[in-house]
Amino acid sequence: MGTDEPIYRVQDLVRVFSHGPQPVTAVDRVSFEVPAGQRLGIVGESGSGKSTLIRMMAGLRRPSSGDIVFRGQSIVGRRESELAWLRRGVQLVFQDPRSSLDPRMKVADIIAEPLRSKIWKGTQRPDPASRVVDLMARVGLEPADRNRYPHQFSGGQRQRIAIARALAPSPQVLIADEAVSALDVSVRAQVLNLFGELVADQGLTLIFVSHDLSVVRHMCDAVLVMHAGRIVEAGPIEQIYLDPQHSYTRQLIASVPRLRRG
Amino acid sequence: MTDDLLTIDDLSVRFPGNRHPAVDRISLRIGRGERVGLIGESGSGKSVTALAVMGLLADNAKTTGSIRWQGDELLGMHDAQYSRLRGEQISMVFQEPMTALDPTMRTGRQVAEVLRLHGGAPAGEARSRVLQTLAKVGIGDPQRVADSFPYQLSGGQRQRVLIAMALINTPDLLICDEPTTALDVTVQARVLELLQGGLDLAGSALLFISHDLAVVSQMVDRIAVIYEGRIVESGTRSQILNAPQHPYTAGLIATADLANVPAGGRLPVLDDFWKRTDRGH
Repeated sequence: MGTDEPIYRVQDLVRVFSHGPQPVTAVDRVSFEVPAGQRLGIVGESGSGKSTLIRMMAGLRRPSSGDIVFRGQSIVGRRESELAWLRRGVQLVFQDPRSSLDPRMKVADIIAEPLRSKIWKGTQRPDPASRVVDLMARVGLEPADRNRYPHQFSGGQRQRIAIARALAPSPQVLIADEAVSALDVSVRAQVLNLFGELVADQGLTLIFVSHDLSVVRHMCDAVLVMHAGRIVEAGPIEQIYLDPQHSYTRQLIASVPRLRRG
Repeated sequence: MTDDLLTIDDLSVRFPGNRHPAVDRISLRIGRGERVGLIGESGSGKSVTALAVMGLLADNAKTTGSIRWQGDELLGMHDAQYSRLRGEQISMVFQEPMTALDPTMRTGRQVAEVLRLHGGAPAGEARSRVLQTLAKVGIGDPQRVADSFPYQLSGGQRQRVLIAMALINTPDLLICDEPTTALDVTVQARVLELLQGGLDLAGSALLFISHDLAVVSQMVDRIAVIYEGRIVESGTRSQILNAPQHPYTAGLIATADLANVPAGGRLPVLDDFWKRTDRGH
């Protein structure tokens, strides 16, 4: 693998859902590359296909056709037992930490969960106990709270728990799926700052999915704008934010609520 | 004598087992046609305040103080009387349209029911009023939407149906609790616009509750800031946003103003302005 090989290569990717009355093409011939270390935003509204796209990239859904290459190897058509390198290398943080964290598990067990999985078979598995303490400190939680349960934390803290869990296997790619959309606006900035610090400190590749282009603008270098399953516009974030070409992108920018001070 | 529609005086709400009151001696006035925002974070007491006005608090809530509606005390009001007030003079739009609608009933019937409950129209006439009202909130195909079950509609459509239900009896006061928080920004923008239009037509006053100061500022003329159950500051939109007196308010403004912060770099956080007191957890 050469040094300029992108960490992800997505080619002609299609996903059709056919369990409704009519088949729906959720992702429609999407192609792009993600260079290692990039912070890529994917914006679009519900139903634009962005969540289906990243689930395929994380190996959680199978494409109908097309290819996804992660670190030089295709992930398409492989059995679960052949995907350990993808599972260790790519981690997700979801929108609502209330539903993505098991309420009956202690925080330490939630964070260590990825370390107990089969994906470590045949490799050096990090020691869960010391890793949990380390990770909690790194995301701004008190390691002393490790035996508490998710409901004993605020919304912002719960999202920190989810981020610590995602970092546990030392992934190369972090995918955030609307990771701040369910948080109070006043808490959003803290979590965004944390993402920014972690990505910079650890040289992570970030794929940041959001319906809010103003948030993506703060987090990302580049952006894909998705609408009805297709990429309608792609490029450096500042260029697209300041000079959008597609009418849908313009609509997204106009919809961002701004403070009306008058 | 005042022209106040709603007068909240020294209202406190306590729940058993909690050391601190959920709402702590708040006072708030809303005049006829006035649009007021209540801004606060999760757990600040803003939704409890709304439920107290609607008379929908759980039975174990202990309420003191006074909530007057055009001069009449609402606290302790008889259920039958309160029910007539709700939906007719005061109505409410909640955050989650999926849970606020009955999943087993076609949406048109649900809208018609609000109309009929409040002495509105006979069955035949109700149908046409329902379709008109759905059209007014920007629903392009009111026939189809009226004949659909809630799960067959998108989040934005469901929220429009709720707004239609809330406005169909032209209430004097509409209370919106995070009405667009579950929606995409594009859908949110459209729903807020429709809400503005609906309020203009009905001439209703508005109590708009949200954690999102940017959204609140689009909708109201006056803003009250609620923190840990207390109103720490209130004033006109311009006073609050241009000359906040409380550091907590200044923090809310800084965190809400993402569009005006230069891209990249560290975002301002609440802690830069205001250290939370460790109340409870």
